[in-house]
Amino acid sequence: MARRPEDLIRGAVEVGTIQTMYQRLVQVIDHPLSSASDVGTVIAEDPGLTARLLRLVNSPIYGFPSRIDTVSQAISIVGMTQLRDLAIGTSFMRLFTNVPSHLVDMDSFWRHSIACGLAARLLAGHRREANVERYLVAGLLHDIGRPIIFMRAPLEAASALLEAGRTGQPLFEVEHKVLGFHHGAVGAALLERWRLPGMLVDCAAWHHAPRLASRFPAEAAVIHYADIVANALQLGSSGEHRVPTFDPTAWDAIDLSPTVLPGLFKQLEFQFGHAVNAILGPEH
Amino acid sequence: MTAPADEALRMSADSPADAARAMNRWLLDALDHVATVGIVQPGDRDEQGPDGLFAQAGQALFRIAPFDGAAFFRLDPSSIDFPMAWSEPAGRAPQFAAEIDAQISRGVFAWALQNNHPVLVPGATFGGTAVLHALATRSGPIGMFIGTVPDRGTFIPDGCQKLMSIVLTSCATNLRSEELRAELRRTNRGLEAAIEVRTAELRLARDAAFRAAQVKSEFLANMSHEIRTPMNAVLGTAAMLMEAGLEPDQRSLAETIERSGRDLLTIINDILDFSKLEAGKLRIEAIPFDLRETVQGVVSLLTAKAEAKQISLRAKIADDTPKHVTGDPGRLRQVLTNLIDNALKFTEQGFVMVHLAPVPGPDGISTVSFTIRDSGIGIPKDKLASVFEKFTQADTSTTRKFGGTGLGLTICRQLAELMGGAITAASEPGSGSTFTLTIPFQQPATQAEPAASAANAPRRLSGKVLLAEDYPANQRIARWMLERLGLEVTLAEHGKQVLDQLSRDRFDLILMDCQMPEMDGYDATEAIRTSAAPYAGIPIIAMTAAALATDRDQCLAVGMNDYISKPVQQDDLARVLSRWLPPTDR
Repeated sequence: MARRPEDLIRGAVEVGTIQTMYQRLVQVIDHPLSSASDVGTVIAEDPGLTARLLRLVNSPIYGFPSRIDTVSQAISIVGMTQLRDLAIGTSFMRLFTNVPSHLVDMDSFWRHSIACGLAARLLAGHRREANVERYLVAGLLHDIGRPIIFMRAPLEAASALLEAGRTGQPLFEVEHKVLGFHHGAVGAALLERWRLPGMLVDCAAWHHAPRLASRFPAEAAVIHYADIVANALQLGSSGEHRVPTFDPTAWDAIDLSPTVLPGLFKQLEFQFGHAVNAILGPEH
Repeated sequence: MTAPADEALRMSADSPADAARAMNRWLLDALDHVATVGIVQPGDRDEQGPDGLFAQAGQALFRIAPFDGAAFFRLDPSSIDFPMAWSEPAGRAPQFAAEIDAQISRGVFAWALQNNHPVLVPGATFGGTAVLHALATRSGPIGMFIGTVPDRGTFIPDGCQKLMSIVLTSCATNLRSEELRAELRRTNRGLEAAIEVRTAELRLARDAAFRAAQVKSEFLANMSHEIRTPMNAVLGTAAMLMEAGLEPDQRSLAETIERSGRDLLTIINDILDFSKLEAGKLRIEAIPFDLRETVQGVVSLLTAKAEAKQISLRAKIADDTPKHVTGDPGRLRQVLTNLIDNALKFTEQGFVMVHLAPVPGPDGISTVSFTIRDSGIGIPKDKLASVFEKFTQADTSTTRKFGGTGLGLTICRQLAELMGGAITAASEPGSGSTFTLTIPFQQPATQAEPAASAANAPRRLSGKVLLAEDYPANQRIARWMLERLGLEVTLAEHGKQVLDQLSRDRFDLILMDCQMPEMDGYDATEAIRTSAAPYAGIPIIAMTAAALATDRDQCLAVGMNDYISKPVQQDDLARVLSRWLPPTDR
């Protein structure tokens, strides 16, 4: 019986409390008159999230000169939508940090996702995007379909890993061969189900083929390139042992001068450790 | 100024839906402002300048957010400073500047510069909220916007913040494109200036090159004059000696002088011709002449040389070869002489054969091929191509053995090409070479009798000649030659004496040296031609060692009638003078 990505995500992750928090955040922010303190109030209900966000915005990644002590301060400095996106992204990934899997090292998986998010955020900064945080989140969640596959289809996942290791084919291509779809489709289905912004869905779905993204091709191209950078610099691993195939048109879509890259790689390597500490907790 | 939040807040007291509607209305209004100020629509920005742009953006921002003051600071790349470019109200400019300074030292300024969204912080120098927003494009920061809100708690809704970003991004983009336009204008001006400088330099270089070429020509003319003047004396004296009833062995010495002098003259003429060819100053004449006679003349001149080497030199002229053609007989003679002389030089025994035949061609053109075949040493295959190159003989040892400048064939080929023809060479080493010259001649319009050639120059003329010449040896030689022609000679040493003599006596012709002290030949000629005296129309023949075509032009330009080149040869002199003086029967 042929399976669809939707079959894998059904009941995969218990999102209950986070889903509620996310919906309230959306409500508060979409309300035309809600203020920073309103958003702060919602976030403050989750002390772990509050601590995580403050840790993040006070990290050298942001380099804000003075200490940010409250969520509303963070909002006036980082921006409201930006902080909401960070809250959502880090909360959702928390759901997976404890996924037991003997097929993949989840710690290494998240390190890869963080590296990808940081690279995407730096690229977006060079593009003078207003909301660079959304790129960080898109990077954090781009491979979210993979742990689902590991959990829900462990046999297929194992044979895919073996075949990719044996043939040297990219893992996402082998996934497609074994399952009929790859982790991008699974992740996209999950994010869609959680009603996360379309940009995050497109980036998860098309980060291996950004040209095919219908709504956010430039954004998907940024994630595509960031994924390759993270793999090439070997900052963590999502199970892929090879650097994914590079789509040369992606760089055209990103539309930046290649001269930004050497500086970007330096910044990325500097920020990586700080981001891992801030997002995964100091113990990592 | 609209205070968007205020109205909506009032409404929110009633119902959230009303508040949302009020907010929607306000947002639509704000969008209208953004669209109509022309910031997001690039227009004709050229006359407006950055001040107008800041004012437009500022006014739009006042409508969008509850600011009570705002200012723009623009990055000055040379000082890396951010001087204030615009403020509203203008009276608060010092306060904005102080606030920006404070935010710079707090690091908020740097933070805002890196981001592309508004950064809201408590005012450092006042009780309200400061809103900072970068003015930047992808190529880097251009400036900073600061807006002040009177109270600290005020929150600017997300929609307003996004509109601010749109206005400021568009403003930055416009500023940047204005910078680029200015840069383009500067570059263009720089380019124009650079082109002007370069053009001036090139003009100087060109003028210098022209001058150098001119100096070279003058040098050549001078050198030619300097060498030809004594050569004239050498050859003339030798000729006089041979007529002076010498003992046979003395006569043979005089002949050696004469022959060596002629060889030297040939070399000088080669070098001069080559220089003229290089400078593109050599002119080809188009005069009717007798082709067969010219070729026979060349062959008979070289017969003695062939006989001395016991080589058979024969000319075979095909029956259908035209007799009368139009072309440059002098240059043809030069090329043929050179080719035949070469053949003789490189042949130890056997023959040199000259063969003339017509080549089929277009109407009105008689193309003739001149084939010079010898039974000499020949030319190796790999050297055939280079024999026409200057300063080259088939090999360097040949140069030593056979002598010569190595210019002969180069000149021949260039002359042939100037005459519209070509020279090719073929050779079988050990058994001889064949040079083929083809020249297209014009057919003469009428079968007029061609100009008298050296062969039929008259032996005796009559008349009184005034000879103007300053160099004593040449005076003697010229006088001797003129008297041999039966002419009566009076001597003048320079132009002034010429005029003196003319006023005193009657003459039939003046043989005028061009370079003389006191008054040269050119000035003397002008004086004669512009005088009202009866001798104003007297024939004047230039006689000069200068041999360039330009010299000839100058002679004719000042009113001389004809031209004879030094060293003067008896036959040439007779031929030229016979055009101006009657022959005598005696």
